Amino acid sequence: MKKHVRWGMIMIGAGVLGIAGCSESVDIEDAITSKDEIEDQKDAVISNINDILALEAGMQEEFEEDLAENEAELFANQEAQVLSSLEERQALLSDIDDANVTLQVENEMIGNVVQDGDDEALPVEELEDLHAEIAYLHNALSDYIAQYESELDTQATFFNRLGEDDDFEFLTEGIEEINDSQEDIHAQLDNVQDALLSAETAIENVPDEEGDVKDA
Amino acid sequence: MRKKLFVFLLGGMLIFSSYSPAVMAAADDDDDDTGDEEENDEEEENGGDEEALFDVSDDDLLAMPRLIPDRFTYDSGVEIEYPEDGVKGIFSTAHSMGGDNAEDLFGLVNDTSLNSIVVDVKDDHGFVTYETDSDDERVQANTNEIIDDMDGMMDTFEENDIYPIARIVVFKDTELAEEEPELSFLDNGSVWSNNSGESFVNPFVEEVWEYNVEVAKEAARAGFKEIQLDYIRFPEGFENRDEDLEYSEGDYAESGEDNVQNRVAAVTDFVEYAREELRPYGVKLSADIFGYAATVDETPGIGQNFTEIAENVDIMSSMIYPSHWTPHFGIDQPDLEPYNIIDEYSQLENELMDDMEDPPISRPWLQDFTASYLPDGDWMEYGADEVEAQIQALYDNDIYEFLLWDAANNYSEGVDYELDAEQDIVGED
Repeated sequence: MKKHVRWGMIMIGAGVLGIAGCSESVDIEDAITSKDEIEDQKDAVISNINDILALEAGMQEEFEEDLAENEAELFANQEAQVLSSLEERQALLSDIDDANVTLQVENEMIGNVVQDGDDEALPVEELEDLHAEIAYLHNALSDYIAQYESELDTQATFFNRLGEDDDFEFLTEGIEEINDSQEDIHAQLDNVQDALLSAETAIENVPDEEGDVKDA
Repeated sequence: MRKKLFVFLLGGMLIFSSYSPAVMAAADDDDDDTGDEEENDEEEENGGDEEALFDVSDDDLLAMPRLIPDRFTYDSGVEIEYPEDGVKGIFSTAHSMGGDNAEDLFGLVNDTSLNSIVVDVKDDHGFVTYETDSDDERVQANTNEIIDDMDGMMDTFEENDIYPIARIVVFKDTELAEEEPELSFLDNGSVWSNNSGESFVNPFVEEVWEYNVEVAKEAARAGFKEIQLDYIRFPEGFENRDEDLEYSEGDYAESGEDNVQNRVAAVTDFVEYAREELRPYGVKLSADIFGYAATVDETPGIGQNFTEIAENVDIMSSMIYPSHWTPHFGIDQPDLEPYNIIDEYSQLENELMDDMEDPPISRPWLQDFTASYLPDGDWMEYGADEVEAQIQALYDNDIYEFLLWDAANNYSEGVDYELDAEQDIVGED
């Protein structure tokens, strides 16, 4: 399902690019539209990541409550609270992935505008900067998403096996492995944050309207 | 090329925009400058930190839960459940358990309603009393094999369904103090000892914590179902010599608290550390503390705070031997009034426990020895009646667990430990 959405976005994006490519000119309006879309997606990414972090913050309590039931079936039957958290985080990660695809599409549009635009009012330098920063953000998000998806798989395997495996070492090593992976994810998240902040600055530097261009 | 063209065109735009008055432009520039300064000021006020977009916790995503289901805890292979009627036990030295006295002690428990034996795993000198599988060099160096067949002993506990408790004497440790004086308290460069020639190791030093918890883990691996921490305290009267002795205060030196608070914190933190470290082993944790610790907010010298320790253990075993009290609760000669002194203490402890959100089980140590070392007139011979009087006082205060102490492990005969009390069954939590 996620892949379908992703390909759908790419096709729409490709269509937009195709139309843009067919048009006689791409101008500042295209750039501003893309910039606005990028800003929306950036805000959505921040919101989704914070939602993921909030779900992570609640995991320990859910985990303890699940274990306190002392029933392996809770995990085996997919009824544990932590498994719901996994699904919710997976959904949020899919949303981030979709936003990242849109970011790429809109960034390609900006790249196209910079390359082909013939509007004299185009703030080329700012747009080039934005283009570079969004490309950086896209890559940072791609790395984060890939790492987090891998981590969700690890967590899903661990929680599911709690329904079958009652080995003490498995419990401790599983928790340790998840925490170690989390450190890697936080390192990726630092990169994402840096990229988002740089993107924010780049977005702010691009004028909102033609009249705002280079009047200072 | 295209970029240069845009730059040129934009340059032209800037020239056209110079229709605006120069003064205005200058004012704009000033405003811009001011704005930049304000932004800079704001950044400085914020410590120059970059804006944080995410609230990332420094905590681990998952930690071992406080209550670990039995199916996940360490399986020593020894199957002994917590007694349904609560623990009623006796103390045994390692020499008793490792020698001929073991049979008598097991017999006593089997023949009565007693159901538990507390065994010295790390004794009053500091010796680990049996050969462990620990790789810890200190554990190996300080082992004095007194119980030569731990597996066999555990088999006996299991066969007779007797609840085994491992007593670990923590900070009173003459052996370790002499081996590693830097872990102890020094008096003019020599290891300090009390009037009985006993030395202590320093509760401020985390190496000491780790060593004792390693011993506790070994006991859990051997099959003990409960770890009992004894001598979790500084030496008696430490408040009078803390400025004279040489010792490290470790991380507590920078706490900003006074010496009393630091000592309480060190002792409490050790117990909490032990609880956390032992949690995966599925053993219960109990603490022996002075009876008088419950009567004061904080013991000034020894660092025991009843409530703070109680918050970190499953069972509190206050040592409330009648002979050990100075005149208290309006009782001038406590050894002569075993029922009254235990009754008074129990009421006090119940009040403390009632104020706790999640109180531990109360399981006091009772006196089954004669304190003939007290001044004449202040002591009496202890036997079945005196032991029963103490137990009755507990039952009358709804406390249904106890341990009996006799350093020689020679317990009174003919004691009725049940006393027909209507007992609340202490369930497993």
